[in-house]
Amino acid sequence: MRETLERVSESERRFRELADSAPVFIWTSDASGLVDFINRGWLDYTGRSSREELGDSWMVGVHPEDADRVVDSWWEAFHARGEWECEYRLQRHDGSYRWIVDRGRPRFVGGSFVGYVGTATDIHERKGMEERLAQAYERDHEVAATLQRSLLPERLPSIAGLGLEARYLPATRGTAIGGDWYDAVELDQTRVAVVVGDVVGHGLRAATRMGQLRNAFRAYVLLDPSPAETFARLNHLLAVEGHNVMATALCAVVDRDSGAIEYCSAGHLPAVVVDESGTRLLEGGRSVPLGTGDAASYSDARDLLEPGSTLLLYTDGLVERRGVGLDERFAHLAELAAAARGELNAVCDAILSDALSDGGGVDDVALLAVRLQPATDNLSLRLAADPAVLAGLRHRLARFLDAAGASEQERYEITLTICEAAANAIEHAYGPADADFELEVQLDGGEVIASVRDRGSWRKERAEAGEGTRGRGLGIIEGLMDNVEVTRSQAGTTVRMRRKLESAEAA
Amino acid sequence: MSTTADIAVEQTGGWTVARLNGELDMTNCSYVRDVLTRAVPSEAHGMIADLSGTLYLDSAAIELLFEMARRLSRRRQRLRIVMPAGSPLQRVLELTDVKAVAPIHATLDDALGAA
Repeated sequence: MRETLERVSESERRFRELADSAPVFIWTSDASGLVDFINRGWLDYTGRSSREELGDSWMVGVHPEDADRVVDSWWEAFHARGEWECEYRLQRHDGSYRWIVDRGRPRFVGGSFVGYVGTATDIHERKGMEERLAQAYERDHEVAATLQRSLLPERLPSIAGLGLEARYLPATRGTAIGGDWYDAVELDQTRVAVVVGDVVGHGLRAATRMGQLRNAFRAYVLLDPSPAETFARLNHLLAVEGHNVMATALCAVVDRDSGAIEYCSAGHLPAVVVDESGTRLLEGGRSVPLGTGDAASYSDARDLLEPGSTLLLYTDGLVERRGVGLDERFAHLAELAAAARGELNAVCDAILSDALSDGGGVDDVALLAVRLQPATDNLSLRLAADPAVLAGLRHRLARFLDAAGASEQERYEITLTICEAAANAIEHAYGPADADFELEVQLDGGEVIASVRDRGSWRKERAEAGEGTRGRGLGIIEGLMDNVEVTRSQAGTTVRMRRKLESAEAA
Repeated sequence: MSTTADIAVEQTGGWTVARLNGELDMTNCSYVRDVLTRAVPSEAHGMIADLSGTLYLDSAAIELLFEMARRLSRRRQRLRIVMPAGSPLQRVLELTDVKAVAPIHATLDDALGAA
């Protein structure tokens, strides 16, 4: 027994000698967790004596902000007899704090716990470098995110009969941000071009290229509303500029009235269609990504969307997950889309929150949803008192009346009548042009009931004299509708008009 | 979204034929008036306004037809209108009594050949 103790103390002595000459800090604790040895290096660093550092007084030198963390983690590891590692700031003899990493492991002699042995290393330089790197990383991320946002549409066009909703989520980590885009361009009274794309690469450069591609796309698609032709032009542009940029994109031109769509995929993920019969992928019109070479050719595929269908365009951040097959992800997306048949913005939110909760956030996500709104039997609008609204109003009314089963003649006459009443509201209702008026049209048992309400009063005398443009307008209103009531009051003028559709009379 | 009218003018058989295609309303009336006013040479019999391709015509555009008839008559010229049978515009032109200032024909040939 005595021999054993002597051997232990002999090995302790040699350990201490070695420790004192080591270029790292070395310490040991006894079985109660109190420090019973600290090497020369440590003492030189702190400038204190061995007696001042033993027991638990070594903690005096730990930075106040780190102290709780160090003490808690130490005692937790100690009671579990587990390994301990902690990075903290320790005060040097000159009063400055430097980062060190401190590691300890339990010692056992003959199977019984005798305390800890630990080493600590000065990592101040490394720690400083890491922090500067993290700050630079964060700054790049923020700049890229800001640029990216500024390059995406502030709002999507508002098109009667068509729901449009988009989301963009920047990657949450590092500089993986940038390069995803979406857009919607109104081509004419019934068609809109929607696009989603992804510039290969990340960071500021990808975000900048994305902005250029987005603008070029808008210009080209207005020249010729064919997705394939637009992609061919974009591809040519990239080849000519020689920027060595590659991007995938999917564009669809949707006809609001017929539901006909033309689409083309430049190496992009297929769009998803959700309708009454379920969900399906649009897998036609596939070609190579933009920027892969001037020889690439693009062709349009065609499809038909049922009224009420939803079309989803998205970038890979939404579906790509480490270790999960794409088919599985598509199936999951289809399920989500099918389950969320509510308002379009709710559908987008549901899809995005699911993507985020499912290990997303590594890459950017862009999502664009288009819905062909089914015709309703009620139109309720508040419009600016500006003649420029009339063309759009005409087309909304024509669409509404078509759906109501009106003949071509009825469609023209009823549209004309309502627009004449609207023109009265616009022209004579007020002085200032920035006011608005309300319009409501409904279908009730085969009868069209329309009302136009403004907050001014018509020029009664001219209207009744039947002279001038608006006088003729009132003649038209009265001549074409079955019943017209004009109510004038201090609060404004309301015109109520009714006309029975022939299809209803025949039935 | 804006109102789009496409006006094609040609001189045929001593008449200025103006095809008023597309949509005519209060927002583009002054443009249409400019085009039509300049279209008729003084030696022409007058103008034939062909509404065969007209998709929409509002009261401001009808008022323009009255105005054109007045202008032309001051120059001892005439206005004739072409509106095919079954045109959705028919009832509106009747209601506004356009024929009081301009005879309405079913075809361009009829309008050109009328006395």
